[in-house]
Amino acid sequence: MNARFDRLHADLADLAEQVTVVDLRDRSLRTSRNLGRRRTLVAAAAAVAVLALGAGAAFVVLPGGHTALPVGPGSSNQPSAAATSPTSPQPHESDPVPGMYLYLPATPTVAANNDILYRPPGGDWRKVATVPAPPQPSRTVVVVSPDHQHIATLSDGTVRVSALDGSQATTVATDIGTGPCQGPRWTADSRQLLITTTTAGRTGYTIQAVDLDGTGPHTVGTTSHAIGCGPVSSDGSTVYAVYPGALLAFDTGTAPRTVAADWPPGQEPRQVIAASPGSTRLLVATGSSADACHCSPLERYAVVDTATGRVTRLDNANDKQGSAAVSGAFTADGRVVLLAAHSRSDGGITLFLTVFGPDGTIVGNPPLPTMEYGYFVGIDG
Amino acid sequence: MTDRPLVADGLPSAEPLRTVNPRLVTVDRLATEFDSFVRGRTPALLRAAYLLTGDQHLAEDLVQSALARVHRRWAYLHHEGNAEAYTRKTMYHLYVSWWRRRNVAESMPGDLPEPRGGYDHAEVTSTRITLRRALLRLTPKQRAVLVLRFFEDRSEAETAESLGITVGTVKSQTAKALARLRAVAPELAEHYSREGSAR
Repeated sequence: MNARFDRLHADLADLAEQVTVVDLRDRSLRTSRNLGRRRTLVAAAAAVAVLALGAGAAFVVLPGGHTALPVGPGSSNQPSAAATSPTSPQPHESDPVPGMYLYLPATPTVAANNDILYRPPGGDWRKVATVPAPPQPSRTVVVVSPDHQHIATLSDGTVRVSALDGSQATTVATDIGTGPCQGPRWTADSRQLLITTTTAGRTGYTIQAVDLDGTGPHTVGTTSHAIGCGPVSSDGSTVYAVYPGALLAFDTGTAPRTVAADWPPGQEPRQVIAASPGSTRLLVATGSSADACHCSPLERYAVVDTATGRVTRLDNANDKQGSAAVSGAFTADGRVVLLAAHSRSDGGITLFLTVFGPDGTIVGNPPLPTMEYGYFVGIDG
Repeated sequence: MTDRPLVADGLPSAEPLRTVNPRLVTVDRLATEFDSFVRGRTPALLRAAYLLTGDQHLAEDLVQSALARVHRRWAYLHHEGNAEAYTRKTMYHLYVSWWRRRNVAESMPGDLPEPRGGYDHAEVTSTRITLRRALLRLTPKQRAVLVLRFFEDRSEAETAESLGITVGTVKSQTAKALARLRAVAPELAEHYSREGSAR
């Protein structure tokens, strides 16, 4: 702040001191519970609306334009020929869920922490590795590379990379700022780290990339607006991030371009979660772009084709309002794996793991291990 | 993806997952941490909210609403280390949206609370009253920009992010807010510069 405004700052501070500080803990919790109840009611209303639409769909348009009576309620649960498209792809009926890895971050109270778990198709979760606990678990972000061979940590504005066992630790970026959602994010090929940096006193956000061999950080692109929690890339050649209400592509060394896509009204991109091999498709969380504080009740998910801009909406992964994507990945054959979290009113968190087919339909809901929190690391193949 | 072996040196492989249910313990811990966060941050949030709303009760309502939304996402925010930034952003967004919906705080609420502490004098009191009245004659967005820029010492970029507006809008709103302050409170004009600062 300019020194000439010291007086204004002092006067504002003096005025602000006139407020009486009160304990708002109980009032906040009460309001939180009320918010939860209200959202539940909204969800119930939405469910009723969906059922009503379903009943509407039970009307059959007869040849000649006459509308038949609705079918009786007893038959509404019967399989409908119209409900199943004969062209619906069913490529993974026998094995819809790929093998996948989770990382369970350190917490002071959970015995099974810092573990990497693996679940083979149709199998159970088991621990396959443990990452050394960071010295300050509550202040250190640990991100395991998709190939589960390295970890990146962010603590006090410094990014370090090391082998999975903590050896060969290297500082790759310092003073990246203290804003939210700065990363680091691994590229899908596990060869680069993407970091969003801010600089006090300067406008804008800069996306930087660091190669595993220590090259960098080099600037991928700069934007004058905050970008959502991201960015993502398959190999670092093109990096994608969310700009308010739009999806941006950063080709290194050029100005960012907007990825043209047909976003449904009120379902603009809010966070880009994962990139497919070759970055041909992106997994995106959508919602109202006007809701910058993410207060809207439902987050939806979609896959956008980066070449054509075609948006494929994914089936609703869960009916929990206030859910947010944690992480996700694409399989080579076009399936999408999404891990989302829902904060409960009691302060706990519930995670949902969902596998979608290439057409956006849910093909699997593999069970999760008992855990407090976790990140999706990567998948087989 | 790769199918390379995952086992780090010296670590057992394929160890069965322990079936510890951490949730009961975790809920207690998260609740304690949320309490600590609320009690630690409420004073600063209330001060900013008071400048925004000009009223003790509205300030309490605003902070309470923001904290409730933070509570709904506490487990996630706490883990991400974003709670502080998220709370402030939510508070400022709620403030602007309240104004859009209800046009609150556009009338002059009650008198200033009694000065606290053992030190006060006429000039300070006069400045307080004048500044408070002048703030309440700004638009909510101008007020929010002023509070973020000159009370919270946020940069233009940080202010833009907190309010969900562009840096250009921050600059223009800052200039308009300062001009308005000078217009509605000429006695303060000599104290405050004629130009907005860029940081």
